[in-house]
Amino acid sequence: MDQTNIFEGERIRLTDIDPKEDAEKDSQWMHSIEYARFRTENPVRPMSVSEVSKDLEEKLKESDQERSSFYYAVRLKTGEKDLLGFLHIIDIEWPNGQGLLQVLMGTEEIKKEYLEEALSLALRYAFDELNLYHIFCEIPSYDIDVIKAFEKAGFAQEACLREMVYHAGEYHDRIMFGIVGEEWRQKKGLS
Amino acid sequence: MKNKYLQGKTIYLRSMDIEKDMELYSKWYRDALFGRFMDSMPAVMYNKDQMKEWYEKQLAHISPFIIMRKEDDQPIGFIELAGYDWLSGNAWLGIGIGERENWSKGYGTEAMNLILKLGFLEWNLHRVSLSVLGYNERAICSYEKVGFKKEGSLRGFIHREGQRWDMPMMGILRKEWIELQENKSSEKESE
Repeated sequence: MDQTNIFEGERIRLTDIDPKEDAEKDSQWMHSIEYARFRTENPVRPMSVSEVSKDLEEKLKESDQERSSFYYAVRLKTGEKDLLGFLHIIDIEWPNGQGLLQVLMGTEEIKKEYLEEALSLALRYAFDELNLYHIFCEIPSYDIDVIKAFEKAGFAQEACLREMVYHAGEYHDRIMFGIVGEEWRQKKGLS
Repeated sequence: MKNKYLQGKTIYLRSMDIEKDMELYSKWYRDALFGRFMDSMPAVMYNKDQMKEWYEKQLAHISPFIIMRKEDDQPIGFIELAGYDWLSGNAWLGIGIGERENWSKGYGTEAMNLILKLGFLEWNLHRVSLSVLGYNERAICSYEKVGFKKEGSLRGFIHREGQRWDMPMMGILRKEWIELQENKSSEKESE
């Protein structure tokens, strides 16, 4: 077996979440609606540090009980405390080998710099470790940069739910992107 | 709520009573094919108390109705809207007709038009979504009859009997449904 630590990339790593320590940045980021939109459900609003901390605790508790959702922190390798965002693989259906991927990068700058690497860690974990058949994600149609990053990582558009997302005074489509493990392996083999 | 929302030609909708109706659900799920049409997860059976416990937890997020046959006042299935995003005006539709002898009789189509009328004209929904198992062609046909459009498919989502099946995603917008009703009534007038 490969001896690589698959939780580590070149510059970033996945770790467990600390609901107390990580709540501060999470709450701070939620004051940007772009982040809050991925982080919470409608109606979108920023949550306080204590709310965020409780929310993270509940997610981790659910993950412990159900074993069908995994919540991780994305951090810089150089410092444990350098939180960049979160990476979730949730709603896993083990008999079907399916999971929903959520990648939350704290700011636009972090997204530009690290989303691509976070995605490659997510794919390796989903397929090489969780042994999923296919993972998918939901992205609003106006989020062009994120769509580009997912396409670059090998995801293909599988569905377009019309006018599903209300944002900035208009209805937008929700795009569902997916990738099959076999496609990822082939792509990896070529590069 | 006026009758016009709950009364169809051959069926009507009534409220679901978790104290009384759970036995019906348990009975319907004893046909494995019913379970295999309802869910991408393995078909399982629960007794009425287990059913009740599940529904009690979910009832805040689900609006279930029992579909009643008019000619003999018998319950033949259920229909529900769930997973609301009130802000974007979306809800997910779920429907099941219990006994095989009641399949392919148009009961489901009628029930869907009733719940869509309620959702669009009273609950101010902007669209209604559903996902369906790729092998359930009968259901896909009836969804199309009501006016749902296929918006894509999650590839190979279901694993059953050693095979992979897609999960089509479908949706209908309020304006589309209203236009269909207007066409229906103008057809009637010209008859």
